Amino acid sequence: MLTFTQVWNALGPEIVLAIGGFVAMVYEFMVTGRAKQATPWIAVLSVLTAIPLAWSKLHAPLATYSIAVIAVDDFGTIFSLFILVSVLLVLLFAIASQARLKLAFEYAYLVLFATVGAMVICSALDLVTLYVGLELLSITTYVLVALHRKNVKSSEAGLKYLIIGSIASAIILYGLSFLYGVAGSTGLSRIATALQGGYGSEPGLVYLSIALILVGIFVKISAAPFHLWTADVYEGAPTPITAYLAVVSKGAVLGFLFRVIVWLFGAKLGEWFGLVGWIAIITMVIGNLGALSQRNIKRLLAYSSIGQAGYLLIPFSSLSSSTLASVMWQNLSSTVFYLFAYSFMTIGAFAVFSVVADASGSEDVHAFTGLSKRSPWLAGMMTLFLLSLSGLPLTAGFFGKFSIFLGALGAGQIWLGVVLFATSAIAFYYYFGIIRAMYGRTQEGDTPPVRSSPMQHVVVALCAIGTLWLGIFPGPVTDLLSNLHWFG
Amino acid sequence: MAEESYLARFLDTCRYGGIRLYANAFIFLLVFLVLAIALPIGALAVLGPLLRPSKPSKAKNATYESGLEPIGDARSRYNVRYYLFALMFVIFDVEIIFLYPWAVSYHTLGVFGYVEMMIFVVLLLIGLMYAWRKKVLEWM
Amino acid sequence: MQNVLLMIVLIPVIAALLILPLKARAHAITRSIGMLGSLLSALFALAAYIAFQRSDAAYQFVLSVPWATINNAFAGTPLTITFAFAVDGISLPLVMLTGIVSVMAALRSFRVTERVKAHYVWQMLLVSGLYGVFAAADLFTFFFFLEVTLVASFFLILIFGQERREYAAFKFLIYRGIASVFLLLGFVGLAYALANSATTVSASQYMAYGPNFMSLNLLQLLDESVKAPLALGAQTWLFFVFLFAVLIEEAFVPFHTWLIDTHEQSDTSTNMLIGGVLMKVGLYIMLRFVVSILPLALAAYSEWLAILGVISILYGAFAAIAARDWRRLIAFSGISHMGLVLLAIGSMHALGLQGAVFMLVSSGLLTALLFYTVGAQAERTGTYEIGKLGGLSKSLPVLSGVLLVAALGTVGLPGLSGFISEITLFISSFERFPVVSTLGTLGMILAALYLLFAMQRTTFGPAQGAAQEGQGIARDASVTEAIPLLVLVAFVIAIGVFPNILGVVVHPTVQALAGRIGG
Repeated sequence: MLTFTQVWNALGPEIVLAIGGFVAMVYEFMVTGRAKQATPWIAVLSVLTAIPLAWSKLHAPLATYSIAVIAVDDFGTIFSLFILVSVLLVLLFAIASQARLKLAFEYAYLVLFATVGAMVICSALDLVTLYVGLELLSITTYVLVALHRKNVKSSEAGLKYLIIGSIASAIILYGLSFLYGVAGSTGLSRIATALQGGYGSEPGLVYLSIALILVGIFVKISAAPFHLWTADVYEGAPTPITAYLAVVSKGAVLGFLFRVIVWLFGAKLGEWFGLVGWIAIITMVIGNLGALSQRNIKRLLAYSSIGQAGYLLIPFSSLSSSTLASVMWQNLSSTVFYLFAYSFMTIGAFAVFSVVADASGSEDVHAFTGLSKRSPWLAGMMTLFLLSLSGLPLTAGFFGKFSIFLGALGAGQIWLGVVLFATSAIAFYYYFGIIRAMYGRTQEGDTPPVRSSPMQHVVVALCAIGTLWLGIFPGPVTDLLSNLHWFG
Repeated sequence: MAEESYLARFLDTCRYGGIRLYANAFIFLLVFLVLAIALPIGALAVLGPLLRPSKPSKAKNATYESGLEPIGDARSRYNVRYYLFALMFVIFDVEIIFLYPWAVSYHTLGVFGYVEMMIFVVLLLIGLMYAWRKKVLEWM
Repeated sequence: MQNVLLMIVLIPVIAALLILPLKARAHAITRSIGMLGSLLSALFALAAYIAFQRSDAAYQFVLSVPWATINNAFAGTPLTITFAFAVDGISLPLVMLTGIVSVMAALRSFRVTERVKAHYVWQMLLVSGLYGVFAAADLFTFFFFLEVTLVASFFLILIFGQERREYAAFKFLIYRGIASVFLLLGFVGLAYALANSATTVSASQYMAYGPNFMSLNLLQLLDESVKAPLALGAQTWLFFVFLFAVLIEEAFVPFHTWLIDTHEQSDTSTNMLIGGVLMKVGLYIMLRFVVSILPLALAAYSEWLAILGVISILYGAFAAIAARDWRRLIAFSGISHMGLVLLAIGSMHALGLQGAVFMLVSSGLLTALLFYTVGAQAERTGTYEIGKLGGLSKSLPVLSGVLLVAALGTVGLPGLSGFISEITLFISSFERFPVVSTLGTLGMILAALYLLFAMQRTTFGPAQGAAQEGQGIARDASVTEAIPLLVLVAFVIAIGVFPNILGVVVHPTVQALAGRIGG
């Protein structure tokens, strides 16, 4: 029989976030006026409580609870940590932009609920739990995207995301249903047993199931050619929510991908890596080429995040192509390392963008014109994030890409590594386009200085510290990752 | 010997029978699908024109509306507020569906089940309070 | 003495960090910190040159600072990335070259009046990157500093260039960015291939990780490549990856357009550093990685190198004849001279390799000198166009004289550094490729043609155009301007007259290197 202790051990951080979310909710609808300002801080507090809880779960002995519904393993825990750190940054970012964006305070607890869903799908071991987590994440983000409901673009983005996202969820669910039909169970370990390290007695249905799950996941992480919604949704959503979608949503669904596919089809992955590899290549190319022609920074960052999704698919493809355990560990570590790096640099870039866009009232590249004069600090920070996104040494982005590259090489997938760096070279063009606007040009007429609040500086500084720390002293993090017992 | 093989077959059926049944289930689905397509076509497009006399009149061609004279457009708009009420109703409807089996097996589920269900009820209560405070329950 | 290379690399960075918090108007302090940083680094380079064991062909001043470890990088063993520095007889002259040119460029940057702070910060970073590239003894370290030069040069071109600077800066970035992608690919491929083939690792590594162990350390890679050479197949594809990167880096035909735009749009001190030092990096890669580690592929495809070299020699020379702008002319002449170096490497002979190193140093000094002089002239006359200049020998005798020395040095007048480089280089290449080398010498004749013609138009003949109008205000080189000129000229003459000051350092290393390729 299940005990409360077991539940707490398995889902401690999630429970804290859920309680925090409901407290914030009650607080938000009970108080009026300025007191509402404290709502997001309740959310921040619960995330800050959840981080040490999740941290203490690292290296815990493997345990599965509630008839194998949730696994406590380092894979789930490290993804939870990534999600929590990113959510903390997003919340601080949202608080910092509150004065200008006038977000409805509902965002504070909606973000928390979405986060619970995100964390659940990284550690769930049951198809139903996985799907519930996925829907919790998806449905709350549909609402979050349309948070500015009076704004036409935001509503449009919300509707687009709702339609595309629910189709993707339905496709995933359809794929999961075949698995249940074939194996007669929703537990991942039982399904794995029933498939007998292969496709069981119904290979056709299992193929169909894998294909459907992969397609649904590719839509959610905006891999090409399923990326068409991305730019519109990212542009329409309030900027902190865009950062949330780009980082947390994407990272969590990637965790889902690893969890389901590696657990179920680990032995047969070799037959799929080619497909995933091609998707990764198409995604990298389309994302980076698409960004070339964008003038709106939000759309540019959206396309860039498509490219980043392609980079993040490389380790998945590589680990599928080899049966060596060391290749698998290397690729898992490089995924997680890159996710952390991606989180810091993307949220940082969005944060600087948000300040600059507010100051000039435009989301165009021109908003950055002459920023080095108007605000040298922000220009410097933006340069750091952009250099990291383009993968230059001593930033988190370089080390992340380098270790992804080594992982691909170790698995013998050198062509993936080649495309990775070739598309990074293309990316130079648009990232340095922003740098050119900041340093190379000056704005005509009187230039209003960029006003920014201390809170905004805190967010930018935190992201910058993360980017530099992972770039200059990656040692502690790589050591941590190499000592993990990924799947117990 | 014979018994053993019978046992083995039985176990085999237990283990893999599910899978075969699953595939077989789709045959029924297929049959239903074919029937669902064939029956209306057969009745309305093939048999109907052959059997029925064709004597149209104005009254016959009119839209059937419970025997009354049809008024206005077939599509009419509902106030969007009904939607919110419907949503609220569905939520509490589902709550009852969950509460009922819990109440039946209350003794086997014990304290753990009780606490879980209380959490569920409280969450929905918070939702109701939210709707109340946000003036969802007021018509205007 | 162990840390001398680290000091050389770090001092410019420290100078940049010191400049960063200064006020934007504090020009004098900014300039002196920049100058001091460059000078101090150059002095350390000189100290390294003096302390260098001449007879020793091996790497010296080896220093290795571990940076990060990627676990499970190769067959379950970790890869430790280090910042490692060391110099040998090939890299030390180039470190010296960086020292000389960087000090002169820092002096030249005194003339910058707009955004002085940014100029010095990026220039210091560029200098540090250049030192780092030549002093690196680790593939990662090399790549890292190459990226530093990429970003720093990008900003220098973007902020301080002429009217089409944005275009030039982006072209620079994209071309060299793609080159560095291929370079990284080559580097990792090299380490990977050697790790696969290697049977020799140090005892402690063997104990820890077994026989296959991946390393990016150059010394270890060289060691492994001798004990367990790569198969021809692996060498070949690595060779072509490197060759492609080098062709872009060195702006060989048909990838040369970025260099022309860069030189045409950049300001003088940036041009000195890019043309004088950065443009030597590609061939340094050739000498450092291709010749030593991929000898089989080099032997198999050395004709390709010779032919590519001659194409660049002739194309550069003909394009230089057609050039109407001094900066374009110098850029094309540089391409032409780098083609010579490729030809020399193709000859696979110790003498040829020595000529190649001499040529890199000599061409570096002369290119910097040429850019400095024409920059100083353009400052007075307002134009780089050869057609609009004339009769400068009367109004600007010192500058014109130096220009003459630089041009003659480039043409290869005996007694100047160009001559000794070209003669050694041609002797060895004639031995191996008589026909191709004959075509190459044609390039030298053409060089005499275009340089002396341009010289004649600029310095002699009737004063005309901008020079004529500028008569009243045009003053000849001031003392601060004259110092770099004289120093550079002194080095050019010194190498020309006493080639041994370079030769003693280069010779043992080149001999050892030639031993690897059977030259």
